[in-house]
Amino acid sequence: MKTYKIDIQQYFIIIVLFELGSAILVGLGMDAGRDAWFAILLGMLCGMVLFLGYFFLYNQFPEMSLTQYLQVLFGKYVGKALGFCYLMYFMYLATRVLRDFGSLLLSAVFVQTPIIVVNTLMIATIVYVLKLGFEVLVRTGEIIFSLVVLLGVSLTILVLSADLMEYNYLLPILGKGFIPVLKAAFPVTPTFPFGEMVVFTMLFPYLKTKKKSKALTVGLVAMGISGIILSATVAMDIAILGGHVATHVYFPLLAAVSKINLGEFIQRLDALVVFTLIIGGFFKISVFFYVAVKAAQDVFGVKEEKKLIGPIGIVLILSSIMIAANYVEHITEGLNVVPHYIHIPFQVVLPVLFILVFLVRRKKLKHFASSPSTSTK
Amino acid sequence: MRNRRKRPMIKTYKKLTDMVAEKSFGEASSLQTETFSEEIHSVEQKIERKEGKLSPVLHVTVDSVKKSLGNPVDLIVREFEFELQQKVTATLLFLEEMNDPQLLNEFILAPLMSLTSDKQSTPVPVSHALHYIKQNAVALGRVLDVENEEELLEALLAGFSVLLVEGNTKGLKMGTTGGRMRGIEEPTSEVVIRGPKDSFTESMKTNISLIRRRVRSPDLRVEKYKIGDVTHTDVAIIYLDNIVNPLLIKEIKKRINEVKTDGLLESGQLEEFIQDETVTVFPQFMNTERPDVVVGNLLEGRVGIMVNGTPFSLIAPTQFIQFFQSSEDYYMRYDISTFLRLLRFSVFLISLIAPSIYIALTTFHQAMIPTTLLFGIAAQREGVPFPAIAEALVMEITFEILREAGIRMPRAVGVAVSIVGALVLGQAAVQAGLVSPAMVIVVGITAVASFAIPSFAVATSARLLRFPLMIISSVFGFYGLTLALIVIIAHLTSLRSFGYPYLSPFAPIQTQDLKDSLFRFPITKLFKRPEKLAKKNETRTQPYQVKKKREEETTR
Repeated sequence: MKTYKIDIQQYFIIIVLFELGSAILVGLGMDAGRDAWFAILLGMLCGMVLFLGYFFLYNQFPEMSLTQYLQVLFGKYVGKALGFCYLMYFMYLATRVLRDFGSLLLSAVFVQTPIIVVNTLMIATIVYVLKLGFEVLVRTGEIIFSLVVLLGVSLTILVLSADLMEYNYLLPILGKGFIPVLKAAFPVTPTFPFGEMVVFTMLFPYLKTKKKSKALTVGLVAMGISGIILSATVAMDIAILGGHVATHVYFPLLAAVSKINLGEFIQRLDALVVFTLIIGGFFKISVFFYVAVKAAQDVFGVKEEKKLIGPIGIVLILSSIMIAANYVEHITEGLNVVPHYIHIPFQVVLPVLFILVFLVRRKKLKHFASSPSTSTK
Repeated sequence: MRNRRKRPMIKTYKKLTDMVAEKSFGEASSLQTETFSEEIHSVEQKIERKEGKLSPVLHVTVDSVKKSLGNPVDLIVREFEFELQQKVTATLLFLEEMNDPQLLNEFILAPLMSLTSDKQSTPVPVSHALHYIKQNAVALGRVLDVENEEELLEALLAGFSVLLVEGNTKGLKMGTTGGRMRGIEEPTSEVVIRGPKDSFTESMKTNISLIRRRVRSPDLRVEKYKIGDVTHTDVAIIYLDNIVNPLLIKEIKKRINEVKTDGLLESGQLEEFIQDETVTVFPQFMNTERPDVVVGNLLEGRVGIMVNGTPFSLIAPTQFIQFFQSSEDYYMRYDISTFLRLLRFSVFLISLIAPSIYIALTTFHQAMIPTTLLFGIAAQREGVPFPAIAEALVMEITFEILREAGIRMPRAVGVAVSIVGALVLGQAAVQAGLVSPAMVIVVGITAVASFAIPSFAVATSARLLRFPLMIISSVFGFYGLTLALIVIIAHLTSLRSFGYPYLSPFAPIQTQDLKDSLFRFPITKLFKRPEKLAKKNETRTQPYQVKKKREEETTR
């Protein structure tokens, strides 16, 4: 079967949508108070370093995805075991976003609806799209991207013209010194959303490009742009709501945008934000989902990826409900446990280990790396 | 190519097995390949030819023709004599009303009957009669030999007149096709204010001539096919050879050749046979009755497909965005065209989701309605016993009924129906407490919006999708609506028309083509033909080069 290749433009769009997806809504780095925007930029820089690491691995195995080259690096059995761990990780990420998302909708709109219904509807949509193929997901992403740009631009204009921002809220910059910012920035901010770029280790081989350096630059630029947008959004939230309120609201952007009121006519624009949230969440879960399907395909040696979509979808629905007893537990886990014990090992420690192993075994592996097509079969 | 229709293939296969049984035609192992089925086709024809050679005895042939056609009342057999070396009997056969009587009388019968031997320098033997007549007597443009009975019948049925001469095993078919056809009139389904006012008719010949007159290029290609085992309908594909992608032509030919059916009455049927995807509500071909639209598309590297007997010709491949473009967009200034295109697209969205938004707002998201308006709507809905979805469904279905009735009813009852309709959809329904006034407005705007979409085909898909969207937004509010829209977008991106992405130039994004999509840039900027469509010849004649030349000339 001919695999679909994404071109450089689509690759850019996927990264931006993926980074902004759900991160734009939640207050990132809010532990840093009014300097949260600075923490995000720091996190972005760290994320870029991580991305360089992932790209290094891709450069060594240009036609293989993470789960494939793990089997080359560590041999079949250990490689498959590690691949399985990554499969679990990707599925866990999808589950977390799904749960976040279902909970938000539940608390905001569907007070009486069971969460399983909301999540099932989302997964059903994603299953439909993925069954049509990765190509369709990417192209849908292109349409979504133009919608998001349109919404983003108009919201920005509205916020500016509503004259809501009080720039004094942002001052003094680094008022409490550098330490609180660093504390907020590490280790949480780099892992979400920038460290989640680890999923691209699975998608790199589908990149249609002649020059690897271009892919690297475009990737970094895309990350940079999304980092700046995120940082600017958080700064805007703080300037509208004030540092104290912004740090204590679950969804600062929602709160900020709902303040827009132009001539008693243009108001309650939080609907637009929820709309963006839904499509952003959709895209993010889809990417995790697809990557999980790919990983499962490699680990279990399934030829047709379409066969795996349904089963994984069902697992995601069920686990998104069993993952935590209630929303508070879910959020606490997400803030305190997951970054330290799950994100950092999978995003930082293991990839660094892979690079080290590669460097050590480089000579032995040369044979595989130079002829990847034979080893993938 | 997913979900291509399998049926035509199977039919070929059946025919093939018959052939194999009768004529012991080689091995049947490679039945599925097309070259094979083409071979079979030609073999079939050869066999038929052998069977029906014309008899030199005149009345035998005539009787056989009569027998084959079941001695129809409209078959005219005119016997007459003329003189060559000696007196010769001849017969002119034609189907009345399919031929022009004036042509028959003045250019065939009159010159033939006045033939005398003294006019001829050397006496012509009977065996050379047909050749002599063709060269000297018949004053018509299209005169061709008929070799066998099969051809003879075909010629008669296609509206030719056939001349048979005693002692000859051939006949002559003569192009005297006539009879009454509808003339070239103004288009009824695609009315424009500025632009050519002619439209296609039921006659394919006329239609091709309308295109030829607009494109005086030697590269214009017209290729004919016959489809329909019973109707033998002419189908033509028309394209510009120096622009079109040859692979596209190959694919279209392949699909048209695969069509096996009894009869083809309208291009809509052909559309269903050759489309890429069957399970979809979206039209995969643009149809038009305007010659200028066809020509415009040919210039972009697309292909026109015409079917004899219908004024609607198809354009392939088609992109979704084309349904929001009107030929007038290119004749008016670009600014107003862009505005109109954006308007049409929003109108499509309104007709698709306006009722769903109303339902979602009143059922789930009351907080989003400005307070004063909310009070108003709540007060109106107070007396209405149904939930919003029931209200909306009742009104929408009533409207669909009225609309269908409006198309079918005789003109005389029209007024009555519109009065009743206005009552049902308006004040009376509100006063009876069945629906709220706001709902009437929503249904009204939806209805008007669906008429503002230039393409009827795409308006119907919005009409169909409206109902599932209404139901899902009554259950899940904006959340369900957003997901449903994502599903629709994903479905659209998965569609292809002859391999070209349906949603291009938006997904995948093609920057050049975006200039002529929802927007129309000034015509001087549109010097690229659609990417990937016109492989051979991507650049149009560039206005800038012409301009520069002109400037140079004037400065000299």
